[in-house]
Amino acid sequence: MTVKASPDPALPSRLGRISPLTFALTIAAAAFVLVSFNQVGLSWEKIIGGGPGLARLAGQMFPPDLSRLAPVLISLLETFQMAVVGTVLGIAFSVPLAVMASAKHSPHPLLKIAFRGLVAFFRTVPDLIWALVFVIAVGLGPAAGTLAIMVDTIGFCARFFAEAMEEADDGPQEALAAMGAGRTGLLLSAVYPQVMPSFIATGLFALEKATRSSVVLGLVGAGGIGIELKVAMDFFSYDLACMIILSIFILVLMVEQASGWLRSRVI
Amino acid sequence: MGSEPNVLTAGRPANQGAGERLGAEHHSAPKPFMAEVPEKRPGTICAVSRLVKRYGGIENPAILRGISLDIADGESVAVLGSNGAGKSTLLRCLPRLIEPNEGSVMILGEDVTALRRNALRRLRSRIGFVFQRHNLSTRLSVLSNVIHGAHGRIGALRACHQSFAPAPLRDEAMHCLEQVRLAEFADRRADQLSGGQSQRVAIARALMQRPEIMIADEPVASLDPSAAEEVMDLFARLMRERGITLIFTSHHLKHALQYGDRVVALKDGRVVEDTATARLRERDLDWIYDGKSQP
Repeated sequence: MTVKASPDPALPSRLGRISPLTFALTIAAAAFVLVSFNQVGLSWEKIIGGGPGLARLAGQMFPPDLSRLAPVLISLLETFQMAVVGTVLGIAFSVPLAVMASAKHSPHPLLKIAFRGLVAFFRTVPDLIWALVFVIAVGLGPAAGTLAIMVDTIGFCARFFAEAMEEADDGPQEALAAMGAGRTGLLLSAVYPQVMPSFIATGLFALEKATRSSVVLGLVGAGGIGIELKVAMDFFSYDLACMIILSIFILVLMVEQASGWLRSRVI
Repeated sequence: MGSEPNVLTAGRPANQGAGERLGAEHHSAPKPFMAEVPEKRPGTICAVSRLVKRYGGIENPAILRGISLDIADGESVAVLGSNGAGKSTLLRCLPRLIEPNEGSVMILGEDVTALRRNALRRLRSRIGFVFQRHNLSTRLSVLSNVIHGAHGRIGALRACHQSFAPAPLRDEAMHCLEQVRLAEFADRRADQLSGGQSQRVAIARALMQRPEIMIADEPVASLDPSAAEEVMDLFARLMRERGITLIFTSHHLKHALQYGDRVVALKDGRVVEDTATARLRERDLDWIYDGKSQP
């Protein structure tokens, strides 16, 4: 029996053909990156020259000043409370907003577009801007920071909640629709049980994010430990600033660890 | 089809009475169902007229090409056909899970194709539907899943989880689980069940609807042969005990012959055979499945 040798297929080239437009865009992007490096004024001289300044700052920071530990811890607690309340409120508003913004569950396509736009707006405006807005609206203090975190959390959670709902298995929803369940029934019995792990994971990420955000919101007068840090830096009390930074670091680390542990338990 | 004649003789006669059909293997008398069994009306319970369904635009070939069918109250109808014949599409068109393009469907005296959303929901709550996949909410308990069957008649909040369900509803759900012999699994999460057990929970959920008509689209297709036999036997027995009209598809020819009073065969979106199971001939089956010339 003879076997006919098939002709050798042409070996594909290692790199695909690049269109002139792709080539031009690549060159333009590379040029932009190089120009940007030049524009920001970053240089090895500056980095190396900053070394002694950094060493001097580190020397002034250590040992940390523990004399104001109690008021700093109280501010830290307030910061964390802002993060918790802002996140809880944000999640609470995100759930109905996610339904309206979800392609599968929104009552009308126009509503879906409108709510997606609203959620995108909440997300794209930085939390520091929201804090400035709420400081003007409700005055200085943690209430403004809490509202800023809430809006920022809605922008984050509503988007991921909506995506999780769209990715939920259609099978249980079809079964419930076949039994005569209404829209609320479908959500409560078929969608939310499926997406709950995703909701919880997203909520915990939001809490981590809010904890980090709440630290800096104080810089614009929106409550929390940020204002303590700003005052310490402004008065060159770097040892006190170091203690505040270490406290923040420990808080964020604890929240991240607890959140990671909870996520692993839920998922 | 060589082995099919045995199947024909293995099935019960189509004209066997409901009492006889319970069979010697089910010795215990069925427990009276706690919920009131709806009063049965004589006559046609489901009438399909010139049903047409095509997916996509008019340029695509129709999956259903003018199906007409009358199903009597209490009847058990097996819908047969090879893959792509239109069986699942037909079954999904009945409660309008898929919108038909043309034709009408009358179920329980209502024109399904003309119903508005809320009226359609009310009608669907009277029609059980068992899918090929169990389609349970797997992160919830078995009992919660069964309680979901009451969605059509009580508020969404009370039917969504066993914690919120009133005591009579929980009792009724437990009774439905007893019917499918899974009462001891009530607290277990649905994702801890085997395929056969999950499908039995899906049947219990459908019973929780107190259905007057039951549609089952390949209810045992995803199960191994042993589980398939067990589940199908249980399912058909429960339907017979309650006098519920059953319309089902199955690739197990034996099931169609054993549990159907009547066989409706589809081919290329048309009804090519509609006969009492007892009258079905082997060459009819060849025609349905092998595409040989019509006898």
